[in-house]
Amino acid sequence: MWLKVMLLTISFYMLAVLQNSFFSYLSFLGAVPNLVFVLFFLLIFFDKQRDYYPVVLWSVIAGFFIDVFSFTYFGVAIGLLLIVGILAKKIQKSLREPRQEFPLPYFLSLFIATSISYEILFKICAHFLNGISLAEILSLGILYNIIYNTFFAIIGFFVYKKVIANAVNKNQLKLL
Amino acid sequence: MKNQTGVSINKKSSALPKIVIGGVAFFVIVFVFNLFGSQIKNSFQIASYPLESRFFTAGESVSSFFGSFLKAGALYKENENLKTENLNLLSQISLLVQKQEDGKDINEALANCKDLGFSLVPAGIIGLDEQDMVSINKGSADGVAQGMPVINQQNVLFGKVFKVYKNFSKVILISEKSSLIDVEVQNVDDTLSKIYGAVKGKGGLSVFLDLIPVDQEIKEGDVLITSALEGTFPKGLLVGKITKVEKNDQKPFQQAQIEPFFNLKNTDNLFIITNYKNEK
Repeated sequence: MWLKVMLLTISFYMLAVLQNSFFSYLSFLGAVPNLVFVLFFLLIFFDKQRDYYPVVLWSVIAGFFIDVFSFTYFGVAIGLLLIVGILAKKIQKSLREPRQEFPLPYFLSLFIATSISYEILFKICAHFLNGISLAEILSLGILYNIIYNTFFAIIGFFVYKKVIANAVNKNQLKLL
Repeated sequence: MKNQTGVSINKKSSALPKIVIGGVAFFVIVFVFNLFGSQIKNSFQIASYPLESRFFTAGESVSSFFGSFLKAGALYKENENLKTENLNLLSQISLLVQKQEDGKDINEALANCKDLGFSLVPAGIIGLDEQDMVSINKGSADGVAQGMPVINQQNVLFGKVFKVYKNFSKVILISEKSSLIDVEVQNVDDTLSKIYGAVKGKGGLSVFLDLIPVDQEIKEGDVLITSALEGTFPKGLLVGKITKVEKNDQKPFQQAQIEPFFNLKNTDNLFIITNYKNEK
Protein backbone atom coordinates (compact mmCIF):
# COMPACT_ATOMS: atom_id res chain seq x y z
CA MET A 1 0.00 0.00 0.00
CA TRP A 2 2.74 2.47 0.99
CA LEU A 3 4.69 1.64 -2.12
CA LYS A 4 1.59 2.35 -4.19
CA VAL A 5 1.06 5.69 -2.43
CA MET A 6 4.72 6.61 -2.90
CA LEU A 7 4.75 5.70 -6.59
CA LEU A 8 1.54 7.58 -7.26
CA THR A 9 2.78 10.62 -5.30
CA ILE A 10 5.86 10.71 -7.54
CA SER A 11 3.59 10.27 -10.57
CA PHE A 12 1.41 13.18 -9.48
CA TYR A 13 4.50 15.34 -9.00
CA MET A 14 5.94 14.42 -12.40
CA LEU A 15 2.63 15.12 -14.11
CA ALA A 16 2.36 18.48 -12.33
CA VAL A 17 5.84 19.43 -13.58
CA LEU A 18 5.03 18.14 -17.08
CA GLN A 19 1.81 20.10 -17.42
CA ASN A 20 3.54 23.26 -16.20
CA SER A 21 6.53 22.98 -18.50
CA PHE A 22 6.40 20.54 -21.42
CA PHE A 23 2.75 21.13 -22.26
CA SER A 24 3.12 24.91 -22.07
CA TYR A 25 4.34 24.66 -25.64
CA LEU A 26 1.76 22.12 -26.69
CA SER A 27 -1.32 24.06 -25.73
CA PHE A 28 -4.57 23.42 -27.57
CA LEU A 29 -6.13 26.82 -28.38
CA GLY A 30 -4.46 28.16 -25.27
CA ALA A 31 -5.54 25.27 -23.05
CA VAL A 32 -3.03 23.17 -21.13
CA PRO A 33 -4.07 19.68 -19.97
CA ASN A 34 -4.59 19.04 -16.28
CA LEU A 35 -2.84 15.67 -16.14
CA VAL A 36 -2.92 15.58 -12.34
CA PHE A 37 -6.70 15.78 -12.47
CA VAL A 38 -6.83 13.06 -15.14
CA LEU A 39 -4.78 10.65 -13.00
CA PHE A 40 -6.83 11.56 -9.93
CA PHE A 41 -10.05 10.74 -11.77
CA LEU A 42 -8.68 7.45 -13.13
CA LEU A 43 -7.76 6.36 -9.60
CA ILE A 44 -11.18 7.28 -8.26
CA PHE A 45 -13.02 5.71 -11.18
CA PHE A 46 -11.25 2.37 -11.16
CA ASP A 47 -11.12 2.06 -7.38
CA LYS A 48 -13.35 -0.78 -6.27
CA GLN A 49 -13.52 0.15 -2.60
CA ARG A 50 -16.91 1.35 -1.44
CA ASP A 51 -15.67 3.87 1.13
CA TYR A 52 -14.29 7.34 0.57
CA TYR A 53 -10.80 6.99 2.08
CA PRO A 54 -9.06 6.66 -1.32
CA VAL A 55 -10.90 9.78 -2.52
CA VAL A 56 -9.62 11.73 0.49
CA LEU A 57 -6.07 10.40 0.10
CA TRP A 58 -5.79 11.13 -3.63
CA SER A 59 -7.52 14.51 -3.23
CA VAL A 60 -4.92 15.63 -0.69
CA ILE A 61 -1.94 14.39 -2.72
CA ALA A 62 -3.17 15.51 -6.16
CA GLY A 63 -4.59 18.78 -4.79
CA PHE A 64 -1.31 19.57 -3.06
CA PHE A 65 0.66 19.35 -6.31
CA ILE A 66 -1.93 21.38 -8.23
CA ASP A 67 -1.81 24.04 -5.51
CA VAL A 68 2.01 24.08 -5.38
CA PHE A 69 2.26 25.06 -9.04
CA SER A 70 -0.85 27.21 -9.06
CA PHE A 71 -1.32 30.89 -8.24
CA THR A 72 -4.12 30.18 -5.77
CA TYR A 73 -3.92 29.52 -2.05
CA PHE A 74 -3.22 26.08 -0.66
CA GLY A 75 -6.36 24.08 -0.10
CA VAL A 76 -8.33 25.27 -3.13
CA ALA A 77 -7.50 22.29 -5.36
CA ILE A 78 -7.51 19.88 -2.41
CA GLY A 79 -11.00 21.01 -1.38
CA LEU A 80 -12.35 21.01 -4.93
CA LEU A 81 -10.96 17.56 -5.69
CA LEU A 82 -12.54 16.31 -2.47
CA ILE A 83 -15.91 17.71 -3.50
CA VAL A 84 -15.89 16.47 -7.11
CA GLY A 85 -14.24 13.18 -6.11
CA ILE A 86 -16.87 12.38 -3.50
CA LEU A 87 -19.65 13.40 -5.90
CA ALA A 88 -18.21 11.21 -8.66
CA LYS A 89 -17.90 8.31 -6.24
CA LYS A 90 -21.49 8.77 -5.08
CA ILE A 91 -22.75 8.82 -8.68
CA GLN A 92 -20.59 5.82 -9.48
CA LYS A 93 -21.94 3.91 -6.48
CA SER A 94 -25.52 4.51 -7.53
CA LEU A 95 -24.89 3.75 -11.21
CA ARG A 96 -22.20 1.10 -11.18
CA GLU A 97 -23.15 -1.84 -13.28
CA PRO A 98 -22.86 -5.25 -11.58
CA ARG A 99 -20.04 -6.73 -13.64
CA GLN A 100 -17.86 -3.65 -13.27
CA GLU A 101 -16.71 -3.62 -16.88
CA PHE A 102 -16.40 0.15 -16.93
CA PRO A 103 -17.58 0.96 -20.48
CA LEU A 104 -16.05 4.00 -22.16
CA PRO A 105 -19.28 6.07 -22.53
CA TYR A 106 -19.92 5.64 -18.80
CA PHE A 107 -16.35 6.73 -18.03
CA LEU A 108 -16.52 9.68 -20.42
CA SER A 109 -19.83 11.04 -19.19
CA LEU A 110 -18.67 10.89 -15.58
CA PHE A 111 -15.28 12.38 -16.44
CA ILE A 112 -16.76 15.28 -18.42
CA ALA A 113 -19.32 16.04 -15.69
CA THR A 114 -16.59 15.98 -13.04
CA SER A 115 -14.26 18.12 -15.17
CA ILE A 116 -16.91 20.75 -15.81
CA SER A 117 -17.72 20.92 -12.08
CA TYR A 118 -14.04 21.20 -11.17
CA GLU A 119 -13.25 23.86 -13.80
CA ILE A 120 -16.23 26.03 -12.88
CA LEU A 121 -15.62 25.74 -9.13
CA PHE A 122 -11.92 26.50 -9.65
CA LYS A 123 -12.72 29.66 -11.64
CA ILE A 124 -15.18 30.80 -8.95
CA CYS A 125 -12.55 30.26 -6.23
CA ALA A 126 -9.89 32.03 -8.33
CA HIS A 127 -12.28 34.96 -8.76
CA PHE A 128 -13.03 35.39 -5.07
CA LEU A 129 -9.54 34.60 -3.77
CA ASN A 130 -7.32 36.06 -6.51
CA GLY A 131 -9.50 38.50 -8.42
CA ILE A 132 -9.40 36.54 -11.67
CA SER A 133 -12.23 37.55 -14.00
CA LEU A 134 -15.44 35.57 -13.53
CA ALA A 135 -16.05 35.88 -17.28
CA GLU A 136 -13.63 32.96 -17.67
CA ILE A 137 -16.49 30.67 -16.66
CA LEU A 138 -18.45 31.58 -19.76
CA SER A 139 -15.45 31.47 -22.07
CA LEU A 140 -14.50 28.76 -24.51
CA GLY A 141 -11.34 28.24 -22.47
CA ILE A 142 -13.15 25.80 -20.18
CA LEU A 143 -14.40 23.87 -23.20
CA TYR A 144 -10.88 23.64 -24.66
CA ASN A 145 -9.52 22.54 -21.28
CA ILE A 146 -12.11 19.80 -21.03
CA ILE A 147 -11.55 18.61 -24.61
CA TYR A 148 -7.80 18.45 -24.03
CA ASN A 149 -8.21 16.71 -20.67
CA THR A 150 -10.67 14.24 -22.16
CA PHE A 151 -8.15 13.31 -24.85
CA PHE A 152 -5.63 12.32 -22.19
CA ALA A 153 -8.33 10.73 -20.04
CA ILE A 154 -9.28 8.40 -22.93
CA ILE A 155 -5.64 7.37 -23.34
CA GLY A 156 -5.39 6.88 -19.58
CA PHE A 157 -8.64 4.91 -19.57
CA PHE A 158 -7.37 2.34 -22.07
CA VAL A 159 -3.92 2.15 -20.51
CA TYR A 160 -5.39 1.65 -17.05
CA LYS A 161 -8.05 -0.79 -18.20
CA LYS A 162 -5.96 -2.90 -20.56
CA VAL A 163 -2.64 -2.87 -18.80
CA ILE A 164 -2.95 -2.11 -15.11
CA ALA A 165 -6.44 -3.44 -14.33
CA ASN A 166 -5.75 -6.68 -16.21
CA ALA A 167 -2.45 -7.11 -14.44
CA VAL A 168 -4.11 -6.57 -11.07
CA ASN A 169 -6.87 -9.06 -11.91
CA LYS A 170 -4.29 -11.64 -12.90
CA ASN A 171 -2.26 -10.91 -9.75
CA GLN A 172 0.65 -9.87 -11.92
CA LEU A 173 0.98 -6.44 -10.43
CA LYS A 174 0.07 -6.70 -6.80
CA LEU A 175 1.44 -3.35 -5.75
CA LEU A 176 -1.32 -1.61 -7.70
CA MET B 1 -36.26 -4.70 10.58
CA LYS B 2 -35.51 -3.54 14.08
CA ASN B 3 -31.88 -4.65 13.67
CA GLN B 4 -31.64 -2.99 10.32
CA THR B 5 -32.91 0.27 11.78
CA GLY B 6 -30.45 -0.04 14.62
CA VAL B 7 -27.54 -0.60 12.25
CA SER B 8 -28.59 2.36 10.19
CA ILE B 9 -28.67 4.67 13.22
CA ASN B 10 -25.28 3.41 14.36
CA LYS B 11 -23.80 4.09 10.94
CA LYS B 12 -25.12 7.63 10.89
CA SER B 13 -24.00 8.37 14.42
CA SER B 14 -20.52 6.99 13.71
CA ALA B 15 -20.25 8.91 10.43
CA LEU B 16 -20.82 12.31 12.03
CA PRO B 17 -17.70 12.37 14.25
CA LYS B 18 -15.63 11.18 11.28
CA ILE B 19 -16.92 14.05 9.14
CA VAL B 20 -16.28 16.54 11.95
CA ILE B 21 -12.76 15.20 12.61
CA GLY B 22 -12.07 15.09 8.85
CA GLY B 23 -13.30 18.66 8.43
CA VAL B 24 -11.17 19.94 11.31
CA ALA B 25 -8.14 18.03 10.00
CA PHE B 26 -8.70 19.53 6.53
CA PHE B 27 -8.79 23.09 7.86
CA VAL B 28 -5.73 22.51 10.06
CA ILE B 29 -3.76 21.10 7.09
CA VAL B 30 -4.86 23.94 4.83
CA PHE B 31 -4.03 26.51 7.52
CA VAL B 32 -0.53 25.07 8.05
CA PHE B 33 0.08 24.86 4.28
CA ASN B 34 -0.94 28.48 3.82
CA LEU B 35 1.08 29.61 6.83
CA PHE B 36 4.19 28.39 5.02
CA GLY B 37 2.63 28.65 1.55
CA SER B 38 5.23 30.94 -0.02
CA GLN B 39 8.15 28.91 1.35
CA ILE B 40 6.61 25.60 0.24
CA LYS B 41 5.85 26.88 -3.27
CA ASN B 42 9.27 28.51 -3.53
CA SER B 43 11.07 25.33 -2.41
CA PHE B 44 9.15 23.19 -4.88
CA GLN B 45 9.85 25.63 -7.71
CA ILE B 46 13.57 25.68 -6.91
CA ALA B 47 13.73 21.89 -6.59
CA SER B 48 11.74 21.41 -9.79
CA TYR B 49 13.57 24.03 -11.83
CA PRO B 50 16.20 21.70 -13.41
CA LEU B 51 13.50 19.21 -14.37
CA GLU B 52 11.08 21.90 -15.51
CA SER B 53 13.67 23.62 -17.69
CA ARG B 54 14.49 20.29 -19.36
CA PHE B 55 10.83 19.58 -20.01
CA PHE B 56 10.36 23.14 -21.17
CA THR B 57 13.17 22.82 -23.72
CA ALA B 58 11.82 19.44 -24.82
CA GLY B 59 8.35 20.95 -25.22
CA GLU B 60 9.78 23.77 -27.30
CA SER B 61 11.58 21.27 -29.56
CA VAL B 62 8.49 19.10 -30.00
CA SER B 63 6.34 22.16 -30.63
CA SER B 64 8.84 23.50 -33.19
CA PHE B 65 8.96 20.11 -34.89
CA PHE B 66 5.18 19.89 -35.23
CA GLY B 67 4.98 23.59 -36.09
CA SER B 68 7.55 23.18 -38.84
CA PHE B 69 5.86 20.02 -40.05
CA LEU B 70 2.45 21.62 -40.14
CA LYS B 71 3.61 24.84 -41.69
CA ALA B 72 5.91 23.41 -44.31
CA GLY B 73 9.23 23.41 -42.53
CA ALA B 74 11.53 26.13 -43.75
CA LEU B 75 8.69 28.46 -44.65
CA TYR B 76 7.50 28.45 -41.07
CA LYS B 77 10.98 29.20 -39.72
CA GLU B 78 11.50 31.96 -42.24
CA ASN B 79 8.17 33.43 -41.29
CA GLU B 80 9.11 33.38 -37.60
CA ASN B 81 12.42 35.09 -38.38
CA LEU B 82 10.63 37.74 -40.41
CA LYS B 83 8.18 38.28 -37.57
CA THR B 84 11.03 38.78 -35.13
CA GLU B 85 12.74 41.15 -37.54
CA ASN B 86 9.48 43.00 -38.04
CA LEU B 87 9.05 43.37 -34.29
CA ASN B 88 12.54 44.81 -34.01
CA LEU B 89 11.73 47.34 -36.70
CA LEU B 90 8.40 48.20 -35.11
CA SER B 91 10.17 48.63 -31.80
CA GLN B 92 12.60 51.05 -33.38
CA ILE B 93 9.77 52.97 -35.05
CA SER B 94 7.99 53.17 -31.72
CA LEU B 95 11.08 54.59 -30.06
CA LEU B 96 11.70 57.00 -32.91
CA VAL B 97 8.19 58.37 -32.81
CA GLN B 98 8.27 58.74 -29.06
CA LYS B 99 11.63 60.46 -29.05
CA GLN B 100 10.61 62.72 -31.91
CA GLU B 101 7.63 63.84 -29.88
CA ASP B 102 9.84 64.62 -26.95
CA GLY B 103 12.06 66.75 -29.17
CA LYS B 104 15.19 64.78 -28.42
CA ASP B 105 18.00 63.79 -30.69
CA ILE B 106 16.84 61.24 -33.24
CA ASN B 107 19.95 59.16 -32.77
CA GLU B 108 19.03 58.42 -29.18
CA ALA B 109 15.83 56.87 -30.36
CA LEU B 110 17.72 53.97 -31.85
CA ALA B 111 18.89 52.89 -28.45
CA ASN B 112 17.10 50.08 -26.71
CA CYS B 113 14.71 50.17 -23.80
CA LYS B 114 17.45 50.69 -21.24
CA ASP B 115 18.03 54.15 -22.62
CA LEU B 116 14.52 55.10 -21.58
CA GLY B 117 15.78 54.87 -18.03
CA PHE B 118 14.26 51.55 -17.14
CA SER B 119 15.98 49.04 -14.94
CA LEU B 120 15.42 45.63 -16.44
CA VAL B 121 15.63 42.28 -14.71
CA PRO B 122 15.95 39.40 -17.20
CA ALA B 123 13.87 36.34 -16.41
CA GLY B 124 13.25 32.95 -17.98
CA ILE B 125 9.81 31.46 -18.46
CA ILE B 126 9.50 28.27 -16.43
CA GLY B 127 5.88 27.40 -16.93
CA LEU B 128 2.43 28.30 -18.14
CA ASP B 129 -0.36 28.25 -15.55
CA GLU B 130 -3.94 28.22 -16.58
CA GLN B 131 -4.33 29.91 -19.96
CA ASP B 132 -3.02 33.39 -19.54
CA MET B 133 -0.47 33.27 -16.77
CA VAL B 134 3.21 32.33 -16.88
CA SER B 135 5.77 31.55 -14.19
CA ILE B 136 9.17 33.21 -14.36
CA ASN B 137 12.36 32.35 -12.49
CA LYS B 138 12.82 35.69 -10.74
CA GLY B 139 11.19 36.75 -7.49
CA SER B 140 11.39 39.19 -4.61
CA ALA B 141 15.04 38.23 -4.03
CA ASP B 142 15.79 39.77 -7.45
CA GLY B 143 13.86 42.95 -6.79
CA VAL B 144 10.65 41.90 -8.49
CA ALA B 145 7.43 43.29 -7.05
CA GLN B 146 3.75 42.95 -7.80
CA GLY B 147 2.42 45.06 -10.68
CA MET B 148 5.74 45.50 -12.50
CA PRO B 149 5.48 45.50 -16.33
CA VAL B 150 6.93 42.52 -18.21
CA ILE B 151 8.29 42.89 -21.74
CA ASN B 152 10.64 41.09 -24.12
CA GLN B 153 13.80 42.38 -25.79
CA GLN B 154 11.79 43.97 -28.59
CA ASN B 155 9.72 46.07 -26.17
CA VAL B 156 6.68 43.89 -26.70
CA LEU B 157 4.37 44.05 -23.71
CA PHE B 158 3.57 40.64 -22.19
CA GLY B 159 1.79 41.62 -19.00
CA LYS B 160 2.51 42.44 -15.40
CA VAL B 161 3.71 40.63 -12.32
CA PHE B 162 0.72 39.18 -10.51
CA LYS B 163 2.19 37.31 -7.56
CA VAL B 164 5.72 37.29 -6.19
CA TYR B 165 7.55 34.58 -4.28
CA LYS B 166 11.15 34.63 -3.14
CA ASN B 167 12.70 33.05 -6.23
CA PHE B 168 9.91 33.03 -8.79
CA SER B 169 6.84 35.01 -9.82
CA LYS B 170 3.57 34.63 -11.65
CA VAL B 171 2.98 36.98 -14.57
CA ILE B 172 -0.53 37.72 -15.77
CA LEU B 173 -0.58 38.16 -19.55
CA ILE B 174 -2.42 40.98 -21.31
CA SER B 175 -4.75 38.33 -22.77
CA GLU B 176 -6.19 37.45 -19.35
CA LYS B 177 -9.86 38.38 -19.23
CA SER B 178 -9.52 40.96 -16.47
CA SER B 179 -6.68 42.72 -18.31
CA LEU B 180 -7.32 46.20 -19.71
CA ILE B 181 -4.60 48.43 -21.17
CA ASP B 182 -4.86 51.96 -22.48
CA VAL B 183 -3.35 52.10 -25.95
CA GLU B 184 -2.91 54.50 -28.80
CA VAL B 185 -2.68 53.85 -32.49
CA GLN B 186 0.91 54.42 -33.54
CA ASN B 187 1.10 57.40 -35.82
CA VAL B 188 4.21 58.70 -37.52
CA ASP B 189 2.42 61.81 -38.78
CA ASP B 190 2.32 64.46 -36.04
CA THR B 191 -0.35 66.47 -37.85
CA LEU B 192 -2.96 63.77 -37.27
CA SER B 193 -4.77 63.60 -33.96
CA LYS B 194 -3.99 60.71 -31.66
CA ILE B 195 -6.42 57.82 -31.45
CA TYR B 196 -6.79 56.25 -28.02
CA GLY B 197 -8.49 53.02 -27.09
CA ALA B 198 -8.32 50.06 -24.75
CA VAL B 199 -7.00 46.59 -25.36
CA LYS B 200 -8.92 43.97 -23.43
CA GLY B 201 -8.03 40.36 -22.77
CA LYS B 202 -10.22 37.69 -24.35
CA GLY B 203 -8.57 34.71 -22.72
CA GLY B 204 -6.83 31.91 -24.61
CA LEU B 205 -3.85 34.18 -25.42
CA SER B 206 -5.95 36.57 -27.51
CA VAL B 207 -6.96 40.23 -27.13
CA PHE B 208 -9.24 42.77 -28.80
CA LEU B 209 -9.37 46.54 -29.21
CA ASP B 210 -12.30 48.47 -27.77
CA LEU B 211 -13.46 52.00 -26.91
CA ILE B 212 -12.37 53.62 -30.17
CA PRO B 213 -14.90 56.37 -31.02
CA VAL B 214 -16.79 55.65 -34.26
CA ASP B 215 -15.65 58.89 -35.84
CA GLN B 216 -11.99 57.88 -35.58
CA GLU B 217 -10.43 56.15 -38.54
CA ILE B 218 -8.56 52.96 -37.78
CA LYS B 219 -7.52 50.42 -40.34
CA GLU B 220 -6.11 46.95 -40.74
CA GLY B 221 -2.39 46.88 -40.08
CA ASP B 222 -2.37 49.76 -37.59
CA VAL B 223 0.06 49.14 -34.76
CA LEU B 224 -1.02 49.65 -31.15
CA ILE B 225 1.33 50.86 -28.44
CA THR B 226 0.76 51.59 -24.76
CA SER B 227 -0.33 55.13 -24.00
CA ALA B 228 0.56 55.09 -20.29
CA LEU B 229 -2.71 56.81 -19.40
CA GLU B 230 -3.52 54.31 -16.67
CA GLY B 231 -0.01 54.48 -15.21
CA THR B 232 0.63 50.74 -15.06
CA PHE B 233 2.75 50.45 -18.19
CA PRO B 234 5.29 52.84 -19.70
CA LYS B 235 4.48 54.64 -22.92
CA GLY B 236 5.44 53.16 -26.26
CA LEU B 237 5.47 49.43 -25.58
CA LEU B 238 4.28 47.32 -28.51
CA VAL B 239 0.93 45.61 -27.97
CA GLY B 240 -0.42 44.31 -31.27
CA LYS B 241 -1.60 44.92 -34.82
CA ILE B 242 -5.17 45.45 -35.99
CA THR B 243 -6.33 42.60 -38.19
CA LYS B 244 -10.02 43.43 -38.61
CA VAL B 245 -12.07 46.50 -37.77
CA GLU B 246 -15.60 45.89 -36.49
CA LYS B 247 -17.57 49.09 -36.89
CA ASN B 248 -21.24 49.40 -36.03
CA ASP B 249 -22.88 52.84 -36.34
CA GLN B 250 -25.41 51.94 -33.67
CA LYS B 251 -22.66 51.56 -31.10
CA PRO B 252 -20.75 54.54 -29.67
CA PHE B 253 -17.43 52.74 -29.97
CA GLN B 254 -15.85 50.55 -32.59
CA GLN B 255 -13.94 47.39 -31.86
CA ALA B 256 -11.17 45.60 -33.69
CA GLN B 257 -9.58 42.20 -33.75
CA ILE B 258 -5.90 42.27 -32.88
CA GLU B 259 -2.97 40.02 -33.49
CA PRO B 260 -0.99 40.44 -30.27
CA PHE B 261 2.77 40.77 -30.65
CA PHE B 262 3.57 38.66 -27.61
CA ASN B 263 4.31 35.07 -28.49
CA LEU B 264 5.24 32.56 -25.83
CA LYS B 265 6.49 30.03 -28.34
CA ASN B 266 9.35 32.19 -29.56
CA THR B 267 10.29 33.70 -26.24
CA ASP B 268 13.01 32.38 -24.00
CA ASN B 269 13.64 35.47 -21.93
CA LEU B 270 11.45 38.20 -20.58
CA PHE B 271 12.41 41.46 -18.90
CA ILE B 272 10.78 42.99 -15.87
CA ILE B 273 10.81 46.77 -15.64
CA THR B 274 11.58 47.25 -11.98
CA ASN B 275 11.69 51.03 -11.65
CA TYR B 276 8.77 52.30 -13.71
CA LYS B 277 6.43 52.91 -10.79
CA ASN B 278 9.16 54.49 -8.70
CA GLU B 279 9.80 57.04 -11.39
CA LYS B 280 6.26 58.26 -11.48
